Amino acid sequence: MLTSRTAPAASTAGRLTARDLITCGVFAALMLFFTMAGGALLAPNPVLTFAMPAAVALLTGPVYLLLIAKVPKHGPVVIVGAVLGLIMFVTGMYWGWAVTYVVAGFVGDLVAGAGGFRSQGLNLLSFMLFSLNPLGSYAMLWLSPDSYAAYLVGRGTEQAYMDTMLATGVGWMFPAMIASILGCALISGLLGRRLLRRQFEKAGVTAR
Amino acid sequence: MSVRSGRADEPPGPGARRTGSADPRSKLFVLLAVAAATALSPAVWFDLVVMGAAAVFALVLRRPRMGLVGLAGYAAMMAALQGVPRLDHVALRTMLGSFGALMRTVLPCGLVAAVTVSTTPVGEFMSALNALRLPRQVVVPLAIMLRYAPTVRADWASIRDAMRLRGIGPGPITLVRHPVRTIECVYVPLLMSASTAADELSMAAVARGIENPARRTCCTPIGFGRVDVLATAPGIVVLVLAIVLRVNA
Repeated sequence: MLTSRTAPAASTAGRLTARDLITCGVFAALMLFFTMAGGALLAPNPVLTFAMPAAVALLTGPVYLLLIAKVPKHGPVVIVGAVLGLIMFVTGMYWGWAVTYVVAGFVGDLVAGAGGFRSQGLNLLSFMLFSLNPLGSYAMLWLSPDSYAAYLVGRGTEQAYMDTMLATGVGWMFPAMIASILGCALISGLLGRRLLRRQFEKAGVTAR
Repeated sequence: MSVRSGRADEPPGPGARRTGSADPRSKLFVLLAVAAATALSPAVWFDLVVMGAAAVFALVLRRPRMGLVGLAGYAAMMAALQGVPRLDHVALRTMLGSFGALMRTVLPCGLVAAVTVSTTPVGEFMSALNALRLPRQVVVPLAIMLRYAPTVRADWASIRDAMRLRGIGPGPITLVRHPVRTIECVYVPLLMSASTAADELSMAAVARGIENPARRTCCTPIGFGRVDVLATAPGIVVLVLAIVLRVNA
């Protein structure tokens, strides 16, 4: 199912070893922890909910970059995206988020893979694109606001929440959200890169 | 900060079939069914039904305390939010109302997930996923993630204590005054301990033959039994009900 067997790895040959898979699991747990930390504070508020993806992007950069540095192969990012998407669906989040998690995993994997997982710039870009994944739970708001409102109101979201959300979520909000995610992801990625260089490479934690 | 065992890791005694525990596959089915049912939920009363089903599931799997705590929390939240529509303040009303809406979907799913995790040892979970013919690339990370998630929380608590001890509060004030230092203090130990844990877990798993290409076996046999009928019933009921209500609507 996943890329490791079919796609040729650019730098490190081969499929994922058991060790790689276990590393993916541990880092998926960390990603989940930081995603929850960002989401728990902001998601329930109809106005601040639009800041949630940016907060998550701000928190997860170091984890993502260290994962790629530890397992520079095709696969880990897809696995993390798929596993987190599954968790989001199972915990009752909007299903669109689960779908975009998987898509973002594939996109992030391909972008980082284009640089053989060693290119600092492409890894950063990969993280920024991966961070766009929560847009899945908001995209409906712009693509078809009516069905989204019907969906949320149907499951008991108060009409007033929808009104506030729709009022806040006017046209400029979507690009603003994308910009805020990319900006926060950039900051987080740069911090993560600095941590990687100063702490983890010296300690020999990353793959050589 | 070594890897501490999660709640579900006590292996059953030799030869003892897990008492009162259902096949992990039926638990996973209920988990997916409840998530799908809340996604399809047409009305508030249906959310109550789903929560009831989740509580029944907890009872069947002999986690009555979890079920009761979940129900009590749910009831307290519903009671507290009863007055919300009558509040004058619009912003407050929408905020509390949306919080309630989120909790109404997350609590039943969370209860089922918590019961599933607490009643399923990792080995059983893995053999169930293998029996479902899921690829190894999903089974191993998923099992490890569930196993490691409680450790992240414990690590975070220790890191917070250590930071306080050294006079570096992890709060927002310190974050604003010394952003880079605070971030390093949080991320470096968390990521270091995760890296070490990944290495240690891999060595242990490889030593126990995780790379063996042969079909995986499990000491505790999994299979569909009487408990599973009871355990899956709440899931089937809410899923069918949700679909019927959707189709009729």
